[in-house]
Order: sequence, then structure tokens, then C-alpha cells
Amino acid sequence: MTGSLRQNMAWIHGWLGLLAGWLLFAMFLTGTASYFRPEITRWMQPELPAAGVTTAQAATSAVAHLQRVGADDVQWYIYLPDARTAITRVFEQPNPKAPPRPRGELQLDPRTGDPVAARETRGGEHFYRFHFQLQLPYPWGRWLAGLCALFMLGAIVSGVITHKRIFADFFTLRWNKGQRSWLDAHNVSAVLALPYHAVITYTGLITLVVMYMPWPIAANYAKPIDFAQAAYGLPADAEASGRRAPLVPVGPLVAAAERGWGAPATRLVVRHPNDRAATVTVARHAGASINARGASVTYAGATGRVIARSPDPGPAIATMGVMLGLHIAQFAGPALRWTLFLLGATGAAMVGTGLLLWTTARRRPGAAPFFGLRLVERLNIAVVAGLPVGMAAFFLSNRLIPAGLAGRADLEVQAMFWTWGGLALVQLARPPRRAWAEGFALGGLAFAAMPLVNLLTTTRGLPRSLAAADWTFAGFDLAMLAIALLLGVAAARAGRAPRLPVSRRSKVLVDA
Amino acid sequence: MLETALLAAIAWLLLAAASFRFRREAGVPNPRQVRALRLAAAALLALALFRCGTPLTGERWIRALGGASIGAVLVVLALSADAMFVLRPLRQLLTRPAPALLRRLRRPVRQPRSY
Repeated sequence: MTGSLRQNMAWIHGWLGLLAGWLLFAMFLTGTASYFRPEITRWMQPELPAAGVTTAQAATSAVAHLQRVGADDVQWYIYLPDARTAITRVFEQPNPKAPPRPRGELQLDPRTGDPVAARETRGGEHFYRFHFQLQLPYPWGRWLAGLCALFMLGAIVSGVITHKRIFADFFTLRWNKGQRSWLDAHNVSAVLALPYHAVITYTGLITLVVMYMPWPIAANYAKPIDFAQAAYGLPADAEASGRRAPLVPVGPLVAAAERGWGAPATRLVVRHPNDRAATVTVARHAGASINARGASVTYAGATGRVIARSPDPGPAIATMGVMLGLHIAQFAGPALRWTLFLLGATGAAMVGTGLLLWTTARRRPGAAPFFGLRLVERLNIAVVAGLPVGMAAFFLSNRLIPAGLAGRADLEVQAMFWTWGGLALVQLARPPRRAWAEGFALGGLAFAAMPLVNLLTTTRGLPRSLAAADWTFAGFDLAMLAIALLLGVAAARAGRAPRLPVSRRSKVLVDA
Repeated sequence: MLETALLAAIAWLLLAAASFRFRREAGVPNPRQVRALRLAAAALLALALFRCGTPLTGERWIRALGGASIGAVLVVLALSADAMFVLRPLRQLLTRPAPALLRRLRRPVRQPRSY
């Protein structure tokens, strides 16, 4: 690196983008899908009823169920339904002295509190977890994702410095001009959505900053929970008194907390139920503020008296909460969420066009591609064309694997990775241009098949969803058709023979 | 949100018309018109910011930036497809003859000759 500042930055930009590009593409695509995490989960569990009860009712029915099955538990975690989630989810922390029985996450009908029978699936949670854990064991996936985010941040800064004509090229997008077109597409997707790219990358890094830099907490607190209690005002875990006392009805507690906040509750934690020292902590929904760390209030479980309220967060904790909120965007309503989804797709396009630009810029007409170029090109096809097919396989397997099959959630995930891996290998046997076109075409077919398979295997097909104004299911199916169309167009364009560059001189000669 | 994105898209279209690249397609040869277009675009972007308020503190900025980004992407895609067609309404607006009243106001007043 001995050139000018811009040349050095271009070198850095190219290498940072290339080394992290494939993972960043996967992170952007799955992270963008995660904006609709609850909706994806709902689509993947078509047996579940639509919600329609208040959070207080849902809390009451869930506690009634837990009193029947786990009255002696140490703690209950109750995740209440909201406008996007149809069911109540509960977890039990069992009493170590109690006889062992199968426990785990339970899904309850918010009206009755009875367990609902729905197909086992990871749903939208799979994409959400993958986008920062990369299907690797803890903590390696998170570290790798953090490294990629760091590369991305470096690529954004170096890219802005590199781009000399950032204002002159602001409205420039020229089609069918080879390398120039890819550069334009990369610039347009990067520059026009630059605020989004910068914010989503920086907040993504900050979200896991405590894991990446644990030393300040380790140096000042004996245990991480001590830090959490000091930072978030969590009440210290009280021990059970051993004296029984009935738990007060939780519905009025939830309703009172919601009245106090002017916002819905999202979570209920009942500690030592039916003990005199029982506590009920109600947490505010993250959608009530850009700060994702909502307030909470703790009641005495035996009397219903307020015993603790989360304190106002200090500037550092509030900043951290806002960073997290900006990243996961739980505050966003449907219109803003779709906007963020489109911006996320722009991010995937930016990374994808950047990867393609790397190969286009190095290909010489008539010359055999060198090994690095061939490797990058094959990896590009495997990731850019292969991942969407893998994601489609994840959705399709949800409908095609029998609903009652044990371990089907893992099979769905395996379907995604086997399909993706298989496609990455099969494309090696095809010429690159055909591999691009066939990969996109396969993706288009798979996404187009989804509404059809949904119609044939469930009672919530597109016509019925539209007739019933069930916008979660209808919106999902329509989005799949839109993605299929996009991939179809990509397949058609990728399959076209490239135009040979014609010099001006030869053009003049031909015209003459 | 849709209103924000649309207002921002119109603002970007005006800025594109004022840019060197699309001035010819937009029929904007006059530097005064360029300045006017830029001012109008800035006013529309400001309007987009003020029209997208929500009860949540800070969400206004996210909506404005998100809407402006999506608007810009849409405008650039549209311009890349057919700039002449996209800018035609603006071109017609800018190149049509001024209304009679405006022409009369612009016309220099003839002073009676004094002998």
C-alpha cells in the first residue's frame, strides 16, 4: 500500500469486502428475513389459532396451566402473545427436589391455557440465530459474525473514501455495460442506503460488545449477574421462605403494569410460585420505545404489592438499549418494518454486487481465468444463488415433512444446509454462466412452489387467507411469489450471453 | 411511511433533474431553475421529515432516513429504465410557456418618451 489515500482505501475496501463478503451476504439475507421472525414462525405453524385476547387474560390462563402441572417449580417464564405472536410460550425452571418429568418450551392457547398441538419448528428463530451465530457452537459463531461486522464497518468507511464521484454518480445506474453496470449497482445500493448500512453494522457490533469485550465487567463484578442487577436494576433473587401462600391472580397485576406504562406487557417471570416469598415481575413490550430494554415492575406474589420498579437507565445503558432497538427494530410498525426489510435487501444486493464486481473487474477477454478468479466465482454462485434455494428448502420442508414426526425441527434445518451444500457442489459441474442462471431459476421455482405447497398441505392457502383477511399468511405467500419473480428475472438476465465490448473506432468503421 | 417515501422520491427526482447528468432530459438549462429545483427538493425532504412523526421518540429520524433511502433507490431504478419518460412531467412543467399574467409582469414597462 504505497499509493494515494484513495488507492489504499480501494485496496482495503476490496479485500475486506472479499474476505467477509460471503458470510456478510448470508448474514444480511437471513438478518433481513428476521425482521419478520414472528410472522415466519406463525406461517411455519399453521395449526396455531389466531390471537385475540388481552395479555392479562393470556397471563391468567398460562398461570392456571402452570399451577396444574408445575406448582412446585422454582420459576416460570411466560412470554405473552402480541399483535404478531398468536400463542403464549412458557418455560419452567423445575424444583430440583421434584420428581423428574419432561419439560421444555410449552406453547399454550392464550384463551384456555391448554397446550396447543403444533408442528415442531425453529421458525423465524432459525434465521435470526443463524445471522449472528452462523450455525457454529458458542462463542465461535458470534465471534466470526463480529469479525465480519468489523470488516463490513471498515469496508463502509473505506468505500466512502474511495468513491471520488460520490455526488456526481448519485443518480447513475447504467445497465448492460459489464463491469461499469456492476460498479453502478454496487454504488447505488451502497450509497443510497448508506445510513441504514452504517447503522445496522455498527449496532450489530454494539449488540454483542459485552461478549467481545468482557474485561470491564470481569474486572468490576464477581459474577455477570451482579453486573446485570446493577445495570438493569434487576431485583436480587430471593430464596423461598418454605411457607406456602397462594399466588395472587396475575391478570390484574399485568393490567396495572400496562396502565402505568401506557404500553403492553411482553413477559412475566414468576419466582417461587405459591411461596410467601413469591415475586411476579412484569416486563414492558419492546415495541413501546426504540430502547429495546423495556422497563419492568416486580410485585410480591403473595400480596400483589409493588416491591420494585426498574430504575431509569443511565445514559450508557439507555444508549446500549437504543442501539439494540435500532438493530432488531421491534418498535417498527408494519410499514417501517417493510421499509427496513427492503433496505436489508439493498444491503444483500450491495454485498452481492460487490462480490460480482471483484470477478468482473479481473476477467480479461480471451484470457483463461486464473485460479483465484475461478474460486471466487464459484463461491459467489454457491452463496448468492445457493443460499436463497437453501432458505426455500427450509420453508418447503416445513410443509413436506410430516407434522407429527419427532425431531422434525432439526430436519428442517438440515434440509436447508444439505440443499445449499448440494447446490454448491453441483454447480461446480456446470459452466459458470449456466450455473448462475440455473441456480436462480431453481430458487425462483422453489419460492413459486411455496404458496402452492401451502395450499395443498394446509387449510390456510392463499385464496382462503385473502378471503379471511389473514394478512400474515397472505402476505407471506405473496412475498414468496414476489421473490420468485425477482429470482426468475435474475435467471433470465444471467442466462443471456454477454455483449462483446465494441470499441468506438470499430463502431465508426461499421457505421461508415 | 408511504407518504415519507413518496415525498422523498419526488425530492430526489427534483435533485436528479437539477444534476448535471439529467439536466438535458429534464429541460433545465437555466442555472436559476437548477437552484429553484434544489431548493424545492430540500423543502420536500424537510417536509418528509416533519410529516413522519410518531409517538415514539426518535422514530421520526429512522422513518425519514429509511423513506429517503427507499425513495432514492426507486428514483434511480426508474431513471435507469427511462429517464426521458420519468422526467417528462417535470420537463413539461418547466418548458411550457409562462401564463399570460406572468408574461405581462415580466415584460419591461415602456416609458412614454419625454421630449
